[in-house]
Amino acid sequence: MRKTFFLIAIFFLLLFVALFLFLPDSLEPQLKMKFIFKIRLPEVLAAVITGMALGFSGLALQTVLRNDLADPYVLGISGGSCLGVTLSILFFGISGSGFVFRTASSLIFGILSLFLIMKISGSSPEKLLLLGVLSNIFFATLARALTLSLKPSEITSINHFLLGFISPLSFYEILFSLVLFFILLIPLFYMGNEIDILSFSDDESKTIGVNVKKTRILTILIASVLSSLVVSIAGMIGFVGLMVPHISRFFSTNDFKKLFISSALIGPSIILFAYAFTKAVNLKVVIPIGLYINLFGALFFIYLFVRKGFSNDA
Amino acid sequence: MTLEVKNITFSFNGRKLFESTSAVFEKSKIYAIVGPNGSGKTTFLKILLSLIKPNSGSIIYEGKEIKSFSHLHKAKTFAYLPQIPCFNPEETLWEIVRRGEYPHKRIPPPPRPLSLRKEIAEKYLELENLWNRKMETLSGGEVQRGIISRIIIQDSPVMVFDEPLNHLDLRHRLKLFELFEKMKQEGKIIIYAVHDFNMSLEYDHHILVIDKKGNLKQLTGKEGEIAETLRQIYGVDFKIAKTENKFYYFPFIRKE
Repeated sequence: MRKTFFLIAIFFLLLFVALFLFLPDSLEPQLKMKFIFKIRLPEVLAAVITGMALGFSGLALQTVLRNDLADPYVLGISGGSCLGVTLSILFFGISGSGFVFRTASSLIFGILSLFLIMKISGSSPEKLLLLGVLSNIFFATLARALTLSLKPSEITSINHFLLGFISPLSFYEILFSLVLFFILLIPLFYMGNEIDILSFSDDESKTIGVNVKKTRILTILIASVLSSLVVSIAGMIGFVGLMVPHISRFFSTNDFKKLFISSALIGPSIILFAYAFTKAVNLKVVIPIGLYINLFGALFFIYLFVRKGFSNDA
Repeated sequence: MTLEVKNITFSFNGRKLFESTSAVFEKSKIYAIVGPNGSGKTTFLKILLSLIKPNSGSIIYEGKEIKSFSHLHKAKTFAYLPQIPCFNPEETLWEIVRRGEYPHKRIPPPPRPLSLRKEIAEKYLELENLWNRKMETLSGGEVQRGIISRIIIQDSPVMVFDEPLNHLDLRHRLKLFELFEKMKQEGKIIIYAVHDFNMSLEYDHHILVIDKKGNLKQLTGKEGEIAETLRQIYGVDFKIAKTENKFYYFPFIRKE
């Protein structure tokens, strides 16, 4: 209980910092509130949604795939999604491709990429992870290659997508994301017990009464939609989905529903921290938050990999 | 209340494991399934649990085909201990065992409360100090006893164990068989695969031997006949030992 309060406190502290501190120096005092509401708030909301979605997605994938290193980025969903977003920007322009359309395209390519990788790798966790990382590189490079013909300003925006960049969302985009979010979270939370049981072998799960195939596919599907939503909001932010469940397990018992709640606080906290950090450094150029997160996340991945190897069974 | 296996056929990798296997399991009885490596003990259990689909034949429980059961209905009929259980090593034993309660979470409520089932498992499997330990800190035998308790928590009328004696020391083997006796008195059907059947003889379990055609034959007859059957199945000789009024069989290799 005290640990949960600690998480809540951290979350609100970071929320406060991200919203109200490190404002541009040149800002006139009377414009302060306006800036916070018009610029900061939409970005901070996007950061919170991104963090939650990545955390839930990683938590769900790690449990149903029985793999502590799983996450939408590592499994190649993000890479596929990124290609999807790039294609939709390429064909319809950054403003022409609406948010909903971008999300849909991101989802289709993300899921395609994941199922392709799962098909090829079979049940081998080693192959799954290696292929996922490879496909991320492949799709991201493909996306970058496709954008070479674009104008420099458009390349910059696509580069931001490939690196992970929080940009302000419009009211409708926020509304759409929130609705989609809650439609997905309710079944995910409701399936908590089944998802927990899937940490056993399929045979054991079946004899305990879980419809293994249905639960696994539905969970992976929800995780993919969540991660596609993230890619269309903030581009390719890696490793958050990987880190959140591990940090959550430190704060609560190994119960999906409890981990779910602590993930809801930890995911946004990580993104908000990175967001506040980019504002605090206050450099001349805008640095995508994905840069910091990827750097830190890659180190975390190495740490886990050294400690645990490829999978839980190892 | 019976569980019936009717004319099961099954081949795997072009090899016929079961050609037309039938068997009947009755309530309040304990069945030990024995046979050499690769004879199909695990496969048979998995067919019984409908984890593997046989090429033909049917499994019938209380007059109804298992095939038609829902996932939850199956779980309320069968509980299963696999040969190699799989779990997250960072979870505590109770976190894992508690999930055996899953099929009872919906209506109708379980016939007896969770606390009572936990008490039974704790007493026979000696788990009182293990519940809150992480799985990675338990020894092989402790893990085995722990996972067995999940089957007791699930409390299904048919309990299937694949080599439950694995990793158990002699005391806990006896304790497990005492637990089987308790479950038997409560009207369960208990089916388990095992290699060393002498303890099963001691407890008067029904011993079913899988022969080359995949038929299940009850091990009965005069001690000489039994030793001969065993010799044919395992390809080694058996010494017969007698204590009080029971016979036991110990394998040996005849020196030239």
